[in-house]
Amino acid sequence: MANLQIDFAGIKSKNPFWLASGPPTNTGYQVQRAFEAGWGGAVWKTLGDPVINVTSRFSGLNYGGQRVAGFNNIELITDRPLEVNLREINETKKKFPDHVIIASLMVEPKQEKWHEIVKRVEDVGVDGLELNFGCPHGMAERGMGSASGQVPELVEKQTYWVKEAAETPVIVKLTPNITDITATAYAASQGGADAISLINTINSLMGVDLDTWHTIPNVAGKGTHGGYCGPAVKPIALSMVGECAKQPDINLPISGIGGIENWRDAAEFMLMGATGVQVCTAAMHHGFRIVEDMIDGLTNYLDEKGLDSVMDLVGQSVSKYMSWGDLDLNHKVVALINQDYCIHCNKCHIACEDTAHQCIEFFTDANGRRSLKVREEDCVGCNLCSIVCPAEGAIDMIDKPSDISMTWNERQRLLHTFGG
Amino acid sequence: MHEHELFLKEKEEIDMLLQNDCKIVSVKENLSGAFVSFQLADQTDEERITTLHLLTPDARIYLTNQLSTKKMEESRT
Repeated sequence: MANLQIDFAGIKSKNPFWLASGPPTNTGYQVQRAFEAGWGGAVWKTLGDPVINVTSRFSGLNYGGQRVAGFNNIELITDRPLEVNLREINETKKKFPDHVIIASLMVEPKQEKWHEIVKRVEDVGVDGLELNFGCPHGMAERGMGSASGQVPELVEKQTYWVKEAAETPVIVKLTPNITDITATAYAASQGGADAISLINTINSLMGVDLDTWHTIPNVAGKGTHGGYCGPAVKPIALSMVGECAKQPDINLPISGIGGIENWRDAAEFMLMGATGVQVCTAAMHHGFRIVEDMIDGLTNYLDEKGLDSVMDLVGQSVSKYMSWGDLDLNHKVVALINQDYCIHCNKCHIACEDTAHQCIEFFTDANGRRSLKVREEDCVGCNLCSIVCPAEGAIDMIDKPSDISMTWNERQRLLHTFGG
Repeated sequence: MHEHELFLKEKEEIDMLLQNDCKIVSVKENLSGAFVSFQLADQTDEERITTLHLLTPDARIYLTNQLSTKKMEESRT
């Protein structure tokens, strides 16, 4: 059976599944229940000067019959005194010494504030620190969270201050609300970070109630922008993890966060360079016990792949994720409609005719039935027909290998010699 | 005309010129596509230059495939 243990910046965890900082890690009671369920670690809900929260706080985006395809929150950091959190962290660590507890921290961008909180949380036995430079709402208005995380100089400086005082590994949690996340990842590395975690939530407004015209969620008829997460953000998070992983100047272990619901998502993040993953929304939607399937599924996957350790997955797909200009222009893929599975809904024809390359046309088959076929020579292999097709297996995308490979960058270099 | 038919027409024009001892002397790309200038291999007179205007992306990549192949052949000899 494959070994799920990870070594994340020197932090040993029995598996790569950690709860992310948020409502599921608000108290010792919750974190202990999570550890009993099988989570390898937990990032405690962000500690700092205790806040006062508003109500309501959350909203869910339901899409196509799926509840919580996306999730938005306007909840802030912990509203409990630091002493209470530290006592519960200490109790939890004593009960679960083999589980990882990371303290998420957010204070004003002042050296003495960081030094003070680092010393106090390390005194109760945390395994590491995560600097919350990510939350886009509430705390950002006070100069913390993403307001700090969007300025590389502040990321570097605050990381440096934390490293001055810290004895445990320092993880910098990055905001996606920035043009280029590698800029702040690089700043974290320059500040001496031991690891980065990404992504925090995405700035968002979930909706507007068409009866009341209140924004959602609303607080006495008024609302504010919140942090968006859940399955809908996974592609954004995965891309940002990949961007950081392939950047040689960053060269830090990555904790992947963003829309992870199951072992498949986790494996994808690890293939894209994450050493471990953090989960929040899926636990809020389905409960702590989802980790059981995550552990079973990942173990089985590794066994099927013949891998001894989950660490063997880390970064395996990073070198395949490159600039557009390095992709082969000669590679051709074409759609093929499998008549045995086609349900004749015509969605592929409509999609291709209206919004793609007009290469799916009607013909009358041997039984006199009106059917669809792809005019292969005009198919550009965009995948749209197979994406909109509701019948599994009805459209296959077929590789048409080319003898010659030519990327855009190679082509431009070649044309340059001809005055192009 | 389907785009593939237009590509075949442009490909035929490229092939015909290359088979008739023409060499590519310049390729210029702009908003209107690619303008490829051919000249008979033994000619130096600029007035003898023929220019093809390629519209389709398939023809533009076909052209560069031909250039690449030729360049590889030349480097072997």
